[in-house]
Amino acid sequence: MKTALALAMVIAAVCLCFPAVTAAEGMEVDSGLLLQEWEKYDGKEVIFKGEAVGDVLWRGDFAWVAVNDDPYSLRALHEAGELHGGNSGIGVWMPASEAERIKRLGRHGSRGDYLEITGVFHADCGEHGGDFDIHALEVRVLEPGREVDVSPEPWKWWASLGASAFLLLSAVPIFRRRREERRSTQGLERELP
Amino acid sequence: MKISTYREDLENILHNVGLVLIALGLCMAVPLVISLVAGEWASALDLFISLCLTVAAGDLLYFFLRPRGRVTWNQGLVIVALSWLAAMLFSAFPLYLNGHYASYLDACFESMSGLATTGLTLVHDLDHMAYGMNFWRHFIMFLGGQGIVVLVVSYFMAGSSAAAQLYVSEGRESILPNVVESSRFIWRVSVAYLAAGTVSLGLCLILEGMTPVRSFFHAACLFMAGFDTGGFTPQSMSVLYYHSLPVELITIAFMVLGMLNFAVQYEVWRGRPRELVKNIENRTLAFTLLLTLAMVLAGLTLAGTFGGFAADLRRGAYQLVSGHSGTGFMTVYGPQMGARWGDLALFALTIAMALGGCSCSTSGAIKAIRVGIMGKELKLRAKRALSPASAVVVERFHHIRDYVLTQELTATAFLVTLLYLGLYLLGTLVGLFYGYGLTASAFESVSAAGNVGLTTGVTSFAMPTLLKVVYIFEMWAGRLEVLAVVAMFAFLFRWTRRGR
Repeated sequence: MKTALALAMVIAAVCLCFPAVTAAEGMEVDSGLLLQEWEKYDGKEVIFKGEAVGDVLWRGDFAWVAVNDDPYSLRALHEAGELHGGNSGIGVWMPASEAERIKRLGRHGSRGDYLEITGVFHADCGEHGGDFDIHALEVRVLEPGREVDVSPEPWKWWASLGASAFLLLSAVPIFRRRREERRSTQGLERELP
Repeated sequence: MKISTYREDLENILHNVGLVLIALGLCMAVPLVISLVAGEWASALDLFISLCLTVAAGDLLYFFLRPRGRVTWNQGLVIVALSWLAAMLFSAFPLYLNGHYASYLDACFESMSGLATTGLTLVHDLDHMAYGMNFWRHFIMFLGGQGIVVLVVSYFMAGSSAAAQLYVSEGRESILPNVVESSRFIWRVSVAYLAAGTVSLGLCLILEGMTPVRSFFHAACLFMAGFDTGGFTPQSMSVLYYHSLPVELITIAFMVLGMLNFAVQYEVWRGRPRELVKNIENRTLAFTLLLTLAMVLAGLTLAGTFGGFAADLRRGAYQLVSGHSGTGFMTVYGPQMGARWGDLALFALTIAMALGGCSCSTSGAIKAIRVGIMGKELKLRAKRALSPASAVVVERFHHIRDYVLTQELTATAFLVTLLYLGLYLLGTLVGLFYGYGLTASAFESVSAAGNVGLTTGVTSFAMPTLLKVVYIFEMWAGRLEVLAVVAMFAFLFRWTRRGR
């Protein structure tokens, strides 16, 4: 009996320490799949992975976070320099306590925390006026976000010098015309008695 | 009468296009300052290079080519049409340099979409775009919505003989007796609205959980895109990003303000609020809005898209106002709309987009005044059919003042409508040629030509090059109410014939 009790306690402890074990019951999905096969996943528990971008919109005890699962969520455009189209993702409604785990959001010069969301998908959320969203049960930060180098390429400094020179040269006719106009006005004034 | 020569035409036209480019280049200083404040050096350099090149190109055209004689009506139309093309080419520079577009054509697509206040986008990774560059996307919408040529008329052309021609050629009606005063009035009102809209939406976003700096940045962008019925948004999820009913209601107010005739708004400020109810445009707009809303709601209910009437109304009404005003803000995903809204709701949205808002507003498409005039013509015909042959039957309508319906007014309304329908058909046919479905092709084509920006997913960086070019043409021609573009081609044709 004691052995069984000890075993149960160990299992419970493992489950508490590694919640992903229980979360793995959900089906792993992406935003494209949810848009295409929404009927299959509507109201079901799913696992969604992606980068937290933009803002945490705090709403009392809850918060909205946009989570993108496009290729940029793995490598930002300015890191890889590869274009993969527009962004794709989904709005996640999560308890504020879960949202507080997000330390960095994806923006210019910043790759956001890479999250694993376990939650219930709604193709037409009754609570949020028909939103297409996930209500998170649990949020895990799989990879913390980081700064991304967005310093300009060296050739742009030279190009800006060239463009400035072009602008100055283009302004020459303005000054020449002004000088001509001033001269003609002075000439007229001299001719007047 | 002296007929202008080739050279005179060209010099007069390019001289004025140069002035538009100088103004556009100077406008790039605004996002440049934002980039510098935000410490975004890469985007600041992109904007600086583009500013220098644009102003320099404008300088060369403006100062090397001296105007000869007055700008004629035809030249005015060509100046406006060419100015918009030149503005597209130059405002695409910073976008392309910034690396968020796959090609210069894609950047041109984006800039024409912004200038024409359409809102279709080919941007890559918008959610990581620099503040300054993101602001530029929205700012070109503001410039285009108020009219870039109107801007030049307001502040660079006071007293010029070209002002009146250019003002009307850009599809504006005069609000005040003087076109320069009218242009300045439009700009002053827009800037006042911008300030009020940014503050109100900014405060709302703070209440909705956003940080203050980001709130006011988003609010300014959303105002410019909403009031100018453009439809770009700072985040890729469009207005759905905010998950907020108050934000949706405030942006609906922006869109409605943008789709109403500025002249009517001026009358209201002058203490004549009854103009809102009496005006034929507003009556037509109310009728078409209610009719298409009923169709959208019926379509959503039949398709069972959302769980209940409240969600149908919230999502349906938002997309409808967005489409009817020509804005393109979305609170649903494009593919979700294409797949789940059903044909009736999509058809109603397509009709709403094809009709558009009021004249002398920032909306595109056929416009309520023309729909109203065509309705009056039908009523007149019916009355005549029922009256004795000797009876004199007339039909009147009210638009700022009272008018008697004339053959000329009706003919113009039908002609412009026909040109728009031709434009819608062009994009639909090219879409069909590339294998897209009829509903999707028609929806996207109307969205581009009507300067709306709603999408069912056809518009993407991967779509065929020809389709991108056709949509650019549709956005350009649609924004200039087709006539300026037709006049430009006619003018070019006359040139080539004269050259033989």
